[in-house]
Amino acid sequence: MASEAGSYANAGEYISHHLTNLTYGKLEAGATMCDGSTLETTQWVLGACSAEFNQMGFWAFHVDSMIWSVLLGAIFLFTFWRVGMKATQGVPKGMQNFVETIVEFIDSQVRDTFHGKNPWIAPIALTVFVWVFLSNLMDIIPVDLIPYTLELLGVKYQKIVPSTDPNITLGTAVFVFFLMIYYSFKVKGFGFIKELSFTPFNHWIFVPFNLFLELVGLIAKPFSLGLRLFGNLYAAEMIFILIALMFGAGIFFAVFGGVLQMAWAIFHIMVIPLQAFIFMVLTIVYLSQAHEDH
Amino acid sequence: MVFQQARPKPVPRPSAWRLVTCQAVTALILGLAVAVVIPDVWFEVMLAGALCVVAQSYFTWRSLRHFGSRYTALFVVATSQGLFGKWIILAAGLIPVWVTQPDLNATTMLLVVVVLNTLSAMLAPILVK
Repeated sequence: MASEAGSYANAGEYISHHLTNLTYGKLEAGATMCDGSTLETTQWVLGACSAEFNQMGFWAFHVDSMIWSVLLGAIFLFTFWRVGMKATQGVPKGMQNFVETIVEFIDSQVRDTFHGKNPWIAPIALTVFVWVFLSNLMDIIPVDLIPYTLELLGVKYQKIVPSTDPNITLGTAVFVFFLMIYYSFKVKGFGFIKELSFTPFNHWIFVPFNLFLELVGLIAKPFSLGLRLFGNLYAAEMIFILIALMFGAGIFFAVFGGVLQMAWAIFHIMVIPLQAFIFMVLTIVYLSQAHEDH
Repeated sequence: MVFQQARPKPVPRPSAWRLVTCQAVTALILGLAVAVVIPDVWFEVMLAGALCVVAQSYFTWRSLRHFGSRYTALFVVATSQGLFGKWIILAAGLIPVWVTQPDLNATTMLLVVVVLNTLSAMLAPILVK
């Protein structure tokens, strides 16, 4: 599709463009700008090309991922709030029926998995599930539709699937990790340190070994949340992009590409809720472990 | 009687430690072979091999820790932790070595990690019983 428009030199440029975030970051004095000029003073700028993004270093913000994340979160909150305000007793219909189904599903998952007492766990699980689900759902939108439309409006880079950005997935995972640490100390106090130090071998001589085993397990938790979601969605998006390349290779490949897109989208419909479900279940289990005091 | 009462039998815990032993023996053989053929990278092979064995041991222990638990989610989570923990151990072991010891051959170490982990993945269906 994009190749037909002639806006990309080759397939590599097309893929690279679709995998580049709109980035806001700090450019140091002396940095080379897109037009070849040199920056005289250090500035925070919205990057205009990948050469500028690459010079921004660690303190760079993926503006597109952040905007889409907030937008999807707002859609979730507004929809559920509106349904909640208009909820009626009796047999639910339409949107209320849909929202009640999701709430009941999450509630039953929390009841089955979480064994402590905390009224916040179900709302956290609901938020995580719906937000990750909506983020993943953005992958179903044709890869060129929104980025190309925005490009016509002057926005050169746009990645619309927040869960294909490791900053977003690991950020969410770190949020869950902080909750875990908070509840571990709240429920167990310094018993949490004792748990780390004396499990699995309950003798002081094994404290360093126990700490090694338990700390690796503790650090693995946010990685298992964030990297799994990122990996699955990034790979899926990559496949969508690769199939989209076929649209620029003649009518035969375009039709074949359309069939492949459809097939992959249908398969992806299963992956989207599954990944959201796994993220939610792991969150509940991790928070449940944080509440277990032996 | 149509229905007979049956007591659920516990599923036997799989024996996965043979995999670690196999990996350790392979690392040792690889180290000895390299010591003879390319002695310059002998230390890298042994170091990466030892790290692989530690990481695989962690994975085996962690993933089987909740085996047979009433809450299946615990087993799933433990396996996931084991998997990521294994790679965290490898990354946390290799990266500081590469940064602080630029003289060591990073490619060789990476190759050993890939070979030993691929070997254990291939042998797992045979050795884990």
